[in-house]
Amino acid sequence: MGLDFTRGLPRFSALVDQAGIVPGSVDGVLDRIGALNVDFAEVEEKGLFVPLPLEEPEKSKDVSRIKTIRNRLANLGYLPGDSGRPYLDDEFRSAVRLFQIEADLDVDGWVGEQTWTALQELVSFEAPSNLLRWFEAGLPKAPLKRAMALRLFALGLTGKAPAGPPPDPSGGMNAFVRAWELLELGSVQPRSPLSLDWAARLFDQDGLARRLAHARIPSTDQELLEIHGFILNAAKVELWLAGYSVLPSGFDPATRPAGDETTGFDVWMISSSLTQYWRLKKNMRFYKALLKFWEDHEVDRNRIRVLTVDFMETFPEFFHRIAMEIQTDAVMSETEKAAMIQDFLRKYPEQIPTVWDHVRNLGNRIWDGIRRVWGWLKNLVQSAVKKVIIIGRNLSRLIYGYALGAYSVVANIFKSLAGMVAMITQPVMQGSDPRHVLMVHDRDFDYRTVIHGSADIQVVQAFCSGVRRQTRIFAFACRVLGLFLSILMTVVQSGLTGYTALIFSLVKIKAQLDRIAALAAEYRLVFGA
Amino acid sequence: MAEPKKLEEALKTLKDTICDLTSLEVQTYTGNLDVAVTDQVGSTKFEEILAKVKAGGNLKLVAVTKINFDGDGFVLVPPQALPDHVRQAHEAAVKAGQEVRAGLLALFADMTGLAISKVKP
Repeated sequence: MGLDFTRGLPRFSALVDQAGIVPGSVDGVLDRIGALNVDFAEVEEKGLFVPLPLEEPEKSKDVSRIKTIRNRLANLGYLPGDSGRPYLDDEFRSAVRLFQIEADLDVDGWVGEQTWTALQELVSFEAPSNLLRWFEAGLPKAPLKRAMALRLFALGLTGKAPAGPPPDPSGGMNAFVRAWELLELGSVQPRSPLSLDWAARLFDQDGLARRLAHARIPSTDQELLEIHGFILNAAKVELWLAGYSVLPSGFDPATRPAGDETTGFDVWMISSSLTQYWRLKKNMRFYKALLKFWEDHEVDRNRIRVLTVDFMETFPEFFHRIAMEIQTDAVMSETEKAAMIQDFLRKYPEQIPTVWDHVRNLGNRIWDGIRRVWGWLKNLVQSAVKKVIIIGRNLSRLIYGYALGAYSVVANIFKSLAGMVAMITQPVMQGSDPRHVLMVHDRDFDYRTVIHGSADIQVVQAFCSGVRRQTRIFAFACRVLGLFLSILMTVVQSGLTGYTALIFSLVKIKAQLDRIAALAAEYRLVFGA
Repeated sequence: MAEPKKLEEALKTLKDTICDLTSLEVQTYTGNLDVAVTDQVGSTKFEEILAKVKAGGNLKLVAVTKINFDGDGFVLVPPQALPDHVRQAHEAAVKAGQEVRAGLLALFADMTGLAISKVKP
């Protein structure tokens, strides 16, 4: 990217340094807002943060998101393969349109919020999913069939990833039900593997990890033959989500390049007819990732050998640890998360550019596995008091995701600010109609309302709701903007500069945004909806 | 982001608009308004706006709320209950006034003397 992170926000920074600006004066605040608006446009122009545009851009600078969308469309079989190209082309647009048609979305060929959320729901292992919307007449719709086939493949239950027309996932779902039964993961009802219940079990990766933590260990070779692919691939998915060097590439021999034992086909075992032991091959990526996982968790070396090589006998312990990390995330407050991220940035601001270097190369892992990484990070912080923690890929995912979330909120406010201010300051409130109701205000925001003697009551009520909504949104936007300005001022005055200051401020405001949202909810309780 | 020129104009309007936020007064009338009104009436004075729109009007003041920033305030309503939609419109205006004040004060959070520092023309 070649960005100098110590520079950036030139207009805003100049105003902060300007001695003539009195902190807190109306002119000062409004000037800073104007300056920051222009600086924010530059932030997107340079590709530091690129929220999803509402309409198809001529050229998107959001390399990581474009690559992720392309990868997801390819995984679902809408593209013949993932070229990895980080730009928009006709093939990409056609695939998006086909997905939108199958998913009953507005067909515009661009992945806006609605399409992005639908893709996330189908492909991400952590995104909350509303599976009911993907069912019709009790059967999965085409996009869900593709997503089921993809997940079954990733879990080692089928040998083929989706490609071309929507596949029939029945075979793979039968294998999933069989695995569920053999490992005694829970009830095997209902009997129909294509039902909503079974789809929900398949797509609940957290639940699967929790259940595998208490699974029955297969005892016979026959059972192991039948089930080992599922167990190993479920573990591989978890390691991938947690940021380890392994891919959720399923159990497909065809993915192994000729003569290559270490890539692609990275899950395999050896079985001795003499000892009846199944062991992981040590030259496989999966083994190496698993070894690193347990080393990171500071487990005794002898125990690590058992937990890796003899994985088929000890896998519940692995899933138990994963389940604990998922639980850790569930009980961590936003304040605690923000404090951890801020702590890293405060100690190592010079590592911020590294975050963006990692983000460019992380692909779709930026958008998945975040909850597991929080658990991982907390564990790391607790066990590494005296270690220097380098901002690696996992920490980069958290920092980027955290800052991007806050950036999107603040940027959206900037985008709508002119309209909001115009709406609030115009003397006649939007929606006024003298035939029913007229509301005006003066420069002090004192209001006068006239209700027409023969007004339509429903029109008046709808107008009142509209007024409440307009002013509530305005108030919320003002709160966020005021808080952000205040934080950014403080950060810049403390010595951080440019984009480093911006990123630090965004991370700082993220936890506050949740507090503001909570306050807004509380406010509504007091003053009504 | 907002188009810089548009935002600049909007912020200028906001700057020119803000006067006295230390109290909120809301008045609600019933009556007939016979003249169409657009969003751009061209005045910030209620009386002038009403003068333009109440050609056939016969307005009656039915509710007044005044809230001072220091906590004082009063509500005047007629002895007989207001129709629901009139009460709702009055409450909506009160809440709108509160929301706008809360928002602006939050935006200028470190400037509690906002209303005092500007002289009302």
